[in-house]
Amino acid sequence: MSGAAIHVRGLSKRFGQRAVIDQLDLEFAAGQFTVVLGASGCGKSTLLRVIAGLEQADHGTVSIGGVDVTNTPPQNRGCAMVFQNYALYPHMSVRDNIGYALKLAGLDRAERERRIGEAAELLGLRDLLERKPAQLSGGQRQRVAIGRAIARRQRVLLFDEPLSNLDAKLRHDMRMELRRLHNEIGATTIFVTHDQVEAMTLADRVVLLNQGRVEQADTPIALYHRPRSTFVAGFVGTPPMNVLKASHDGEYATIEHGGRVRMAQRTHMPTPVMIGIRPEAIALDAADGIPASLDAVEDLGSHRVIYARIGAQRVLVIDRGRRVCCPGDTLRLGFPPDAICCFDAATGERMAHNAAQVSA
Amino acid sequence: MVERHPLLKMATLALLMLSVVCALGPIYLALCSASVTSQQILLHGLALWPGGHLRENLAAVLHRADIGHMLLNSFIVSSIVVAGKLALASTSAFAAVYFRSRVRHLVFWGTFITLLLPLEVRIVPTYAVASDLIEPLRTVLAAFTGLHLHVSLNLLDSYAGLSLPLMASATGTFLFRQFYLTVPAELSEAARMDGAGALRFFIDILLPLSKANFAALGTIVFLTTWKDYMWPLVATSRPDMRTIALGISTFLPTETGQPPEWNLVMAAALIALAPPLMMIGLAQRWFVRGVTGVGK
Repeated sequence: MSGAAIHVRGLSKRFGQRAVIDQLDLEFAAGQFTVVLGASGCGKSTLLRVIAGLEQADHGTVSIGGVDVTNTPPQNRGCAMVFQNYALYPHMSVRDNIGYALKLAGLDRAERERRIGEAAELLGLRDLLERKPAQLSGGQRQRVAIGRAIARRQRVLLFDEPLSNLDAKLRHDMRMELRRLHNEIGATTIFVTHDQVEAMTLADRVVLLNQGRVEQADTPIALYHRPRSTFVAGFVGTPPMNVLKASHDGEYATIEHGGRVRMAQRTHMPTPVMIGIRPEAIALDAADGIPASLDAVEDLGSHRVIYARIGAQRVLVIDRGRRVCCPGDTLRLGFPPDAICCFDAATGERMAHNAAQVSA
Repeated sequence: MVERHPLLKMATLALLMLSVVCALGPIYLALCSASVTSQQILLHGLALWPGGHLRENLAAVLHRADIGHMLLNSFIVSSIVVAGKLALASTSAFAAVYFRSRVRHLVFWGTFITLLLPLEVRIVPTYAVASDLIEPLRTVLAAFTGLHLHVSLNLLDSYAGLSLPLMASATGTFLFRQFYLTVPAELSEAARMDGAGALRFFIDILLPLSKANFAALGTIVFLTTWKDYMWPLVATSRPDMRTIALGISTFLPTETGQPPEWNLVMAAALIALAPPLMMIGLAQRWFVRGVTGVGK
């Protein structure tokens, strides 16, 4: 089974007065694992439901495998879906839950049994086939829901926050398993979540949505290191990227109430900017560092999160060293130039590497 | 809320005992009075202690009226009403919950408002319709087109006439609607993704899930139809169409000066009571689940 590419064009969806999705254009490459990431209410679930056909779009088209399916009912779109609360049929055994769609599709008994067996094998459900959903744990129910979706062998697999009802340990195991399944099955997968860890670990490509619009669509690493806006910078990473008000002039940026940092890009006119830097990129004791006062320290064992302030602006630093830190200490924070992202202070968008020069 | 206090426990127990006495007391009196002679009741009133004539009273009842046929009538009518009402209630509630339509709320509340019009209120028009089912259609046709139909369909003294007017009611629709509303929306969406149409979803998913509701509503409807006195009284005139509830009254005196035979009335009542009791015994477990909403 191979995946099918999905194209979403000019998609808009309103609920009452509120535009949940606004003029969205997206492509999902065949066989790719795409995570749609966003805070609650950003339209990510609606997008998934429109692709599945459970929700009708107000404007725009959806095509799957080159065929326009905008007005096709869900069962004919070639999609299988895993729901957040599993949506298993409570009165049916695991076997019947997985086999129900196959039965409706008119497959004969032998073929059904073969596919149920395969899905059960893949997900470790062999011994649970005769049980009812009420007799299963949360993780097992989730497996059944996934088994039900993959047994149908559709070209597109849709996941709507499938791991959010599981505890942390189970979530981790299911992440690994989902990635393995995807590699074995090869269906085009769209996975909706608000959890950036799931996005970082599962995705070939992450689509970050903000108020119904695509904020950035990129590989997880690009999303992390080269955020296109301060929104992305603040959304991805735990703790997120530090974003500081500064003004950019020449080859330096001056942080408000703080010192100067050397920038990889130059300007010829003073520009108000925001500079972003990941907490783990900051050095605690740099020779020409910017003075900052230390507020608090969280020790997580593997690393410490240090809460510091430059003037009134909060800066978080992740430190893996053993330097003794006490609240009240003065740190000298070093900002390596190639780790700094520069955002337009007015729009919040990242400035291209030499945009400042061009505008000057 | 569960309170644990000795006094409260005593009060609860007392209340429970009182309910039991209220419910079982009349049955006990009927049982006692059915086991004594007519003279004894006329002399001393209703018997408080069992006598030794139960067997011969029951035999007299069975001998004097065709009790078996009346029981059969009651059973047939009650079964038709149960089947019809369950089918109507479950499908109309399904339509009210799962189909988006402009008139959905209008239809639902229209159905709901019929609660204000029980059979007792509309017994005259219902009788008129039952005596000629075509009458309303004929009237409408005549008023709008001037056509005169010369057909009529009399449902009086038939099983259809006895059961149809009792069949449609808002209570059943409402019970099923409330249950369907508790079924997660994802279930119907999962079924849609799996390729199940509306009817498949109804048959394969909703019906098995609402088994307890069927049992509960079925039991209630069976009992109310079984004990219904008014409509069978109005809608039947032939003795062979009488139901058991009417049958009991045949033992009451019809002429002045004829002594009432209360012992026989009570014995007939006991016979009429037996099938519903058995029905409850059989359906009890499901009935409780359906009413309390446990064990979906």
